[in-house]
Amino acid sequence: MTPAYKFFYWLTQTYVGQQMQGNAYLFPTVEALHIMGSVALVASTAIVSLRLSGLFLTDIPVSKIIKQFLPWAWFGFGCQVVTGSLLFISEATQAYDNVIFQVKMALILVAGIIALVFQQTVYRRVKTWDLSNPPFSAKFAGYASIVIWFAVIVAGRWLNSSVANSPVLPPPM
Amino acid sequence: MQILYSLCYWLGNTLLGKSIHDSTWMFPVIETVHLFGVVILVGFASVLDLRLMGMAFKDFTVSMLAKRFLPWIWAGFVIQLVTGFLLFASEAAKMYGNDVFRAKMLMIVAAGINALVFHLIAYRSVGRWERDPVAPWSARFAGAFSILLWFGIVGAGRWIAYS
Repeated sequence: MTPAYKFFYWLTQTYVGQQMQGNAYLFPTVEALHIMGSVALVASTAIVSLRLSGLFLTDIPVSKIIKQFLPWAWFGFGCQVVTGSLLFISEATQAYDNVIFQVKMALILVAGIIALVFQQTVYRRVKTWDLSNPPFSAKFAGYASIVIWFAVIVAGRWLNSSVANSPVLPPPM
Repeated sequence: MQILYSLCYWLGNTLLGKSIHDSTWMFPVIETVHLFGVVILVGFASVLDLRLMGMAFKDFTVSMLAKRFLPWIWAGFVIQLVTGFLLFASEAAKMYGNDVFRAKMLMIVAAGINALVFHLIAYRSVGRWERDPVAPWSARFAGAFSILLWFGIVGAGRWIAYS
């Protein structure tokens, strides 16, 4: 048994993990909140991304759209981290070795890296293209973000089926 | 409501309903598209609702947001109507007696009536108040009621699977 598996198992045995598994209403409630959070996170990032791709709100400066919608994206992200962690803690041993879970986490990481690189490079010069046709790298960041965030939703839905069908693994030796 | 039940029973036994019900992959795939639709419909509608409530996006006028966001909201609604109908068709007879499903449908009707009333009354005079820091109470109420209903509908949607 790897240290990671031991840690995952320990998570499922914590008070929070036990409550999430034992209370019939808690898991679906947290799941519903995770879907509501995805609305806030993915819709806000989609609006910013559509603007960057030059498909939506093109007559409004990019910097203004980002100023208005980025706080909501962060709010949604915060909801997702909290609710996602709760769901993970309750089924950590089933998420261990689950390829779809790993793909979902990798996609979120890639979306984060794209946003960070965008912010540190082309967005620094936003004043020069705020109202004109966005440069290729900004458009690319926009398109890639939309595709990746919707792929994260696909992975999340798929994860639900794959965890439900996976056996509950034994405690570590 | 014998007729309604017969209709649900018939729908569930059509080729469409049976195919989705008997397939292992069709239901989750349609459900995933239903999740895409909820992001577009509820996410974009919330922008308008929050603006009406005066909670966010005050740099933008109400009519500008309505003009730009409504086509996306309608597109999201159509996605939800189509995918929701397909999901319903696969287990229509079961849904007929499901209280959470009924509550979800009632909330959707209420959200539609709320939007219609807003459009026919408060929105008619939008030019007079859209630059005010605080919208008239009827507009603020419509926004708050709408966002509450839509998130209630999302919650109910998740709950149907468990009820």
